[in-house]
Amino acid sequence: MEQSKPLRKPGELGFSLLALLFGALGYYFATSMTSGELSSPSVAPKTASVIIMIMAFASFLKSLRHKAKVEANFSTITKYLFTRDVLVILALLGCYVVALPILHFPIASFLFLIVALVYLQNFKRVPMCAAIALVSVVVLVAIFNYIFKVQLP
Amino acid sequence: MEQLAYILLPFKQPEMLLLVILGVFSGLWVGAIPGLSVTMAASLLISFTFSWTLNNAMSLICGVFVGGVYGGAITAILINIPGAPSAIATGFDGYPLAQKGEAGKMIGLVTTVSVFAGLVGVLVLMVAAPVVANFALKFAPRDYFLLALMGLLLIGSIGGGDPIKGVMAGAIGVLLSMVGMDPSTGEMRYTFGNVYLMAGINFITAMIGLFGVSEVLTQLRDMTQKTKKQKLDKIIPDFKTFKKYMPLALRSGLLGVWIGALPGTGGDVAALLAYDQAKRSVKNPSAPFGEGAIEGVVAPESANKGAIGGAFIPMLTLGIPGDAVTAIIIGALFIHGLKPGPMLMIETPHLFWMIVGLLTIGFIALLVIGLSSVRLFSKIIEVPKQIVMPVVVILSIIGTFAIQNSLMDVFWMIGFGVLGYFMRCYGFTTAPMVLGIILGPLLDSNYRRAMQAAGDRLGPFLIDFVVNPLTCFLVLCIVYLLVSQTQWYAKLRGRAPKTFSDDGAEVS
Repeated sequence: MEQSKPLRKPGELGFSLLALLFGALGYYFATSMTSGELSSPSVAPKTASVIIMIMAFASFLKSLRHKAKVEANFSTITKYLFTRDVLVILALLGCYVVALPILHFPIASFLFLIVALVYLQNFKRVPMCAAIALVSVVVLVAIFNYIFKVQLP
Repeated sequence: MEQLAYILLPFKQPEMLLLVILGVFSGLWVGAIPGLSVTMAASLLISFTFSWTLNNAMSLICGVFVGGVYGGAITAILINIPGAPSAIATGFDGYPLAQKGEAGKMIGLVTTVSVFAGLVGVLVLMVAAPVVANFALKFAPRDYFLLALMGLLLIGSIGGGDPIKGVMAGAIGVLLSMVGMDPSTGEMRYTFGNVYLMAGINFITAMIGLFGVSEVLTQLRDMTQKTKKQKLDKIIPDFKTFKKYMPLALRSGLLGVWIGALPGTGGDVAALLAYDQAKRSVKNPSAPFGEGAIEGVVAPESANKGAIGGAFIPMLTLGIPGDAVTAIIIGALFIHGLKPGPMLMIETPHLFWMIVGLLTIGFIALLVIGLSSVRLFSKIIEVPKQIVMPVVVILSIIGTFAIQNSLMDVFWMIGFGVLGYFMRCYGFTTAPMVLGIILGPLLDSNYRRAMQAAGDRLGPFLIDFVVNPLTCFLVLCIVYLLVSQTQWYAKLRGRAPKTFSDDGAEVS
């Protein structure tokens, strides 16, 4: 049976180009390291950078051969990568790590958990979410702080 | 007879027996949480056991070691987030099996083969420690370089199918592992004057981000997938099943002992190599590798347990740690007034035999604790992911912060998580990148030492690879690994050549 030709995902070419740029920058910065001998500190970084560039270019050409799933533009790429759930949790995660040094672990974690749980439960069962968030934080603090003696953020 | 009395000592002392069991139990939970490592647990134990007797302190540490290495597999199978680097390979097939409702059966089998392979490691430690230790000492930098290269060739096995994307991810991992102060010359590489970058990127941070946070984001992308009801009958494998996987467990366990005995390598490298050798050697796996092959779980789990006994070999016979945990145990021995080194076995033979006894108890306790916890573990996977995922995020943050109490590590971890998520969206797998970060320093430092030993000349460097029997053997292994990945070899073995879809999935 003939396989249907794979389609190119939105932003796939851009991702390969970014990898190519990453490899090129890796090589560029490696040129400022001590070079000249076969055991120089720059040998491994340069080799890895060249491999990244070759593979990224090969990946770019491979993707180019495939037909695009949808026209790639800012809107389709962001829609493909960031679903609403992903975007909301990423935003919450950002707020959580910023709040951690200010509110400290128990309060910041409780707030993160309750908001994330309520959101993921479609704003239903709020008391249950609050209970889960509270119990989780209490258990985590008890286990890590008092049993494992691990310092919490 | 005297040696047997030392081995049986922990069996006769209820206090030691209880401490080993307590250690296995707590180690299991520490190991299951990404970021909380056995190394960290062992270091914490030293701080509050230094006033104890040596026997009691060693009992607890050995128990934690055994339980911790086992615990890493639990989260790898249940939620595709390895609790420890040695469980990275376990998730490749363990998680697909859990998605089929086989988590309980798998954890039961993993427990059984783990105990078997662990006891094989203890047996090798008992009967062949001096021989294995002397063999391990014959490894020159060029051999370590080849070993690291061999590890990187595993990308063919774990790269998710598309070799281009696998190699690219592996090379990015190697490049990221170069960040920081060069250990040989003290030169800064890719630090851009930033003090934080001088210490380099911690591979545990990368691992938690690339496996943990990226898994959470990927799961959130598709919330329609329902949690699978787990089958909880037959969680203890029957003898027929055990017998079927015993040869593979034995092979992988012995490979683990050998890798574990090499200073600087440990259960993580052993598990990855064992996974690769299983993929190459098992002719009719229960399912294709990467899609829920039982052999793909048995091999790495046997190897990382075998590596426990292996890691003790150079430590007890030569005073050289086989891995990070045995390095901490050496510290504990110093605290208790002993001098680890080649004379340790001559001056304090009871210690060697007592550790053999402690590890044996540890593995027996693991069998009981592991099998009795299977039902509880399996229930975790049935909790709706809307509840599990936010908790996993918090655990990832605690684990990352605990490495060196740094919020900067947490930012890195989230960065790696987002990168891993993007990679998954475009058909990459994250395992090759973690492999690159782990093996990069081993590859770089040993290549340079080998090159310096050859006078910085390519000719003598290459000649070294041919004239030394051990090196020559490793070169042949690498050639075999390379050839066995070609379509020509597949045709020769009568196997259909592999083709790959756009997502990197294997298409027959």
